[in-house]
Amino acid sequence: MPRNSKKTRVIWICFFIYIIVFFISIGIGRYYVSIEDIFKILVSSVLPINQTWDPAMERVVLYIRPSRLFVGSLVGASLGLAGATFQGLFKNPLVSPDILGVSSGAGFGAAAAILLGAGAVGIQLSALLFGLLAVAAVYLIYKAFRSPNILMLALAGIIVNGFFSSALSLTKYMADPNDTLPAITFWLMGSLAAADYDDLMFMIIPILAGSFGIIFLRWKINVLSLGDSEAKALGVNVNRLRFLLVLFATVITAVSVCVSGTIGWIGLVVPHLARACTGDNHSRLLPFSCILGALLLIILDDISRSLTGAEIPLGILTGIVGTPVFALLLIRQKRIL
Amino acid sequence: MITYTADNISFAYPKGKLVLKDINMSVSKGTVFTILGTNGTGKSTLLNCIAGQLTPLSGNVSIGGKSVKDMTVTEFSRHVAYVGQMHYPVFAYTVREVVVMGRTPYLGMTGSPRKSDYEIADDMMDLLKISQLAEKSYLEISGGERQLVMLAQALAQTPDFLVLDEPTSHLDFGNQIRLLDIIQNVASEGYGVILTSHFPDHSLMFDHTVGILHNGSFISVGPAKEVITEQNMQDIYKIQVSVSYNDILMRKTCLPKGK
Repeated sequence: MPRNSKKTRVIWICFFIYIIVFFISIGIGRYYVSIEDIFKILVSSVLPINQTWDPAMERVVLYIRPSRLFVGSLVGASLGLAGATFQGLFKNPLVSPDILGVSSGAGFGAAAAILLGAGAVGIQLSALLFGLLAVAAVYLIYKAFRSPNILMLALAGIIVNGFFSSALSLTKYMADPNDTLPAITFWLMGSLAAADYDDLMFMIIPILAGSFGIIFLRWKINVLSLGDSEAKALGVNVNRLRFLLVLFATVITAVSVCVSGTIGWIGLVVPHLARACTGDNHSRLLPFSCILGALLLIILDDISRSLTGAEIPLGILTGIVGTPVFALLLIRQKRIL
Repeated sequence: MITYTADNISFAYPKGKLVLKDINMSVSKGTVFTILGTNGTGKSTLLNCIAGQLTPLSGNVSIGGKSVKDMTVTEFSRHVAYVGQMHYPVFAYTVREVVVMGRTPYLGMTGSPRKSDYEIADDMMDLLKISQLAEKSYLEISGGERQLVMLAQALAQTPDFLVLDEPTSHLDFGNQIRLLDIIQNVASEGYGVILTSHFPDHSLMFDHTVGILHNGSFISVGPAKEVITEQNMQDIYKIQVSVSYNDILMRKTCLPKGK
């Protein structure tokens, strides 16, 4: 048997902590709800008990906060999982889910939609569309290089990233500095403040599909990360596997980004933290990155809701917390890159 | 008896001249075929063509009469295991995890190794006497140990044929000879082995078939004792050698005399 029960146990412990944090987080925010009330309201939805609470509180506990927490969990899990997947794919632990241009494409898509006066749904769809378009462009350019070298895929990513960040600058330059420009800037900071039940319904199917796709292939990523020729010698259809992984990781990242805006560092730091607990074997690393990503993101979102009177955009917080954590991790780990 | 055959293989890299010209070779299970030749003469390219890493420009590679063109990558990998010269691992898998990756051809698209796969991996580490490395990080072992780990992985693939590119290149003096022993044992257990080497003397130890590759063609193929001659060695390596029978070793040896 695989001798790794200790490393597997870590995954379950983290999942357990996640459940507890999720439960407590329902009460955290400007509208505070005590754990006792959360418990009572949750029970009351199954068993008839005397209502001792405000009906507004019930709405917060049963709909508003859980929607946001589920959206946050999906975003965190997706970014963690996509980060770990891209790191395995590129055989490089310094890669983040942005490498193939999803975020810059989505950023441009959102900014262009804001500029054209689109509503919330329009902005989301435009972000999603351009996020996916950016990665499709990266893949086409990579194919045009006619080189099987995975570094050429990263290079294509740099090219498309460069294009879309310039295009984004253009939309900002054209935007009205009084209202449109701040809207674009806020979108780019990333936030879950507007996340609601509709977002959850919109995200859940593509993210579950993409995530399960990756989780099913998790062991093959180990083989792929040995190197292309080694993987091929072991009977792996390298091109097909790589395409599927890019597709799944792109879908979950794009769907997340279009709902939350750009949230940096989670996709880089979470897989690293996860590596420290479960090791590099993707069989454990990928599920753990999912859970850890979800856990960290809802904790950070709790902080963004409650630290000050007005919400701090989540993307700012992930950067401020993520960067020192990442530095510490690299200092403490034995790995030599 | 299954044979692994290359018929009239030619190969050129894009926009380059022919690296391999009309190569013919055939290896049966239970035998060792050593490819000798100078640096840059096409040995690795030939192995890559045989092992399915490169597609020959013309000619055909077949196993047991079936052309590899008619096989999927997975089907091929159940017949042939290939160990390249050097690769640069990035992730800290344990040695055991790396060895069990040899079971990939039997796992299907979404599978993970099962208990029986780990048992095969453990057996192969036992065979190569590297069981003590099992839980060590693949990044923290030496280059020579890595070579043994990759060989264990190839054996875990339970193929018919092993294709090894300079399997002794990173091994110390003792481990080189131990590896040759292992290869010989593996061959006597029924595997067919194709390997490249820079040591004519090693092929005399195997006492199987040798092919001398020169400028992309075999200039001599046959039993080691007949192919490793002073004249042949001087022709390709441009050094003086002594090929003579050693009474103590009870075999022919090939030793350099110097320039």
